[in-house]
Amino acid sequence: MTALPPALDKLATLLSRLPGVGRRTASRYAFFILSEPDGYAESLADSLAELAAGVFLCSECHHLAEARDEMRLCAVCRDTGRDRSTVCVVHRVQELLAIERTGAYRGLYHVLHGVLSPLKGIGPLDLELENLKPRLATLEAQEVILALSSDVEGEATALYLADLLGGSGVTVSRLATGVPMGGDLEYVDQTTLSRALEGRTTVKHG
Amino acid sequence: MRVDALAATNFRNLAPFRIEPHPRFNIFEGPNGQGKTNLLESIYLLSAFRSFRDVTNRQLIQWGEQDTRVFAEVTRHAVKRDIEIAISSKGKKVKLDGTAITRLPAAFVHFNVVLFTPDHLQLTKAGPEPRRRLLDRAIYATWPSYIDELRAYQAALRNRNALLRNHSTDRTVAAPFERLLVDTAVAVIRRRLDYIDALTPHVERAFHDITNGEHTVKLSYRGSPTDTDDAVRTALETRLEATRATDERRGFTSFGPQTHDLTVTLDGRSARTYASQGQHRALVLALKIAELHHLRAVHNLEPVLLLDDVSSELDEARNAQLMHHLTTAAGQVFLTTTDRRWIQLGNDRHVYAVSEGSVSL
Repeated sequence: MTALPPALDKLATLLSRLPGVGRRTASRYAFFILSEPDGYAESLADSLAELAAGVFLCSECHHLAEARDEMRLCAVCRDTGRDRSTVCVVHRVQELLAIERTGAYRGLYHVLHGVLSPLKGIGPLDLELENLKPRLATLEAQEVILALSSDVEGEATALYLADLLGGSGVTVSRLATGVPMGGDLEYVDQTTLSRALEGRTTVKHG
Repeated sequence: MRVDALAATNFRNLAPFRIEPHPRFNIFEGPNGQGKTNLLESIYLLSAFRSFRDVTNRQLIQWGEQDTRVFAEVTRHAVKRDIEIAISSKGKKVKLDGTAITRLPAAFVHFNVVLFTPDHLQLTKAGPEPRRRLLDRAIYATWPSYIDELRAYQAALRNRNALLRNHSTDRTVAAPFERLLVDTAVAVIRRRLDYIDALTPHVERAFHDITNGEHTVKLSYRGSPTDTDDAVRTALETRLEATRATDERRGFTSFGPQTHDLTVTLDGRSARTYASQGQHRALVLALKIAELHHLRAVHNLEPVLLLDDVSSELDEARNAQLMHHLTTAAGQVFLTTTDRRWIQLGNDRHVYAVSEGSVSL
């Protein structure tokens, strides 16, 4: 059916699996890689091989870690300056990075790589949960912060974890939800507004 | 609330047009199948960002074209706004004053309309589904965040149904989803009860006016306690426990807001069963007028009224009452008709002829 050399066709097929890339864009990328001078294809191949061989999930928190670390620990878990009594549970690495960018959090993380979703067939065994309880015990953690999204799957996962960790001696907290900065109160939805009211903070004691 | 200008390209069968509607009455006149309802649909789209007909995006785009665009300049509380919706096979994009809106519910409050089509005349006769849909749409026209609450409930319901279908026996997973199912159901039911409470006096007054006080109408919510949130919650929790075994066997959730109904009684008896043809028409007319009055009270403005060939479906007396109501109310009205004689509205109006997709004043 295709008149392409097999190598080009194979590359296009692999590229078409990238998010947002269809068959046509994939073959455009494949042709670009083929025609780009100065050993672009070779550098790209090397870099992909390095990625495949060189990036692992941290054995502690499941954040991304580099293979040359013998303990298979990520940069956060290796950092001795971090507060080891607090663990923040997140859905994906992307959320961990978002929290890191704030610079406001100095504790450790635990990346689930998913949330419970019966609809998508994702159960507790599909999440990185196995070592969570033993890890909290080893760390002698005082607090677990559930930083999960406020949709139904995120909320259900938070409730599940709260039950799972209940009675283990750690305080389980969750992120406050509220009015976005610069947000016009009039247009904030009622759920957010009522939660923001419940979680209000004192500005001044009379 | 007023539409100052309306324009569209590649929308259904309509030739590109731009009109500057009259602030009071706008009549789209022409034989059937020329595009009159499409004009009302284009206005409705700018308010709800979805059609009132059951259609795909593809069907809204003119045959052979890639995308369509509908645009209006509206005035709300003396503030002028531009609303634009662009529809392609990839989806809908909405712009408010030239800025893309990513969270649609927040934009619902920028353009308030009330729609009345011949389909609504079946409302008090039909099964519960169209009444629930009307109720839900009227609620998010009033309180835009309701759409998020309804979606959260639907997500909880779909997940719980998936657990039931898979015969999952893991209570540690089922319990959180059941708790969220109840939490989100309470929020949905609360909104529906609040809306029915708020609508009731408007319905009673409108129905009283239409029938000269000969009959009394009552709206009620069927399927749940109607007093406190605690009572609503307790009833849901009781049903959850009582039906769990059968729901697990059947593979779906048999209770909750998706099974409830807005019931209408006439002199204490079910309108669905006992009302005459004329009474059904009077009830629907009262419900739509009440929806308009309620929206006016909530937002403190006159919503734009869209009437799709309703006069030909009403009897002469009800039509006269509708016309009387329209001339005494103050808002802007768009209506379609095959025959201008039905429309007794005085001279504050534009009459547009609609023929084979062309609109002309």
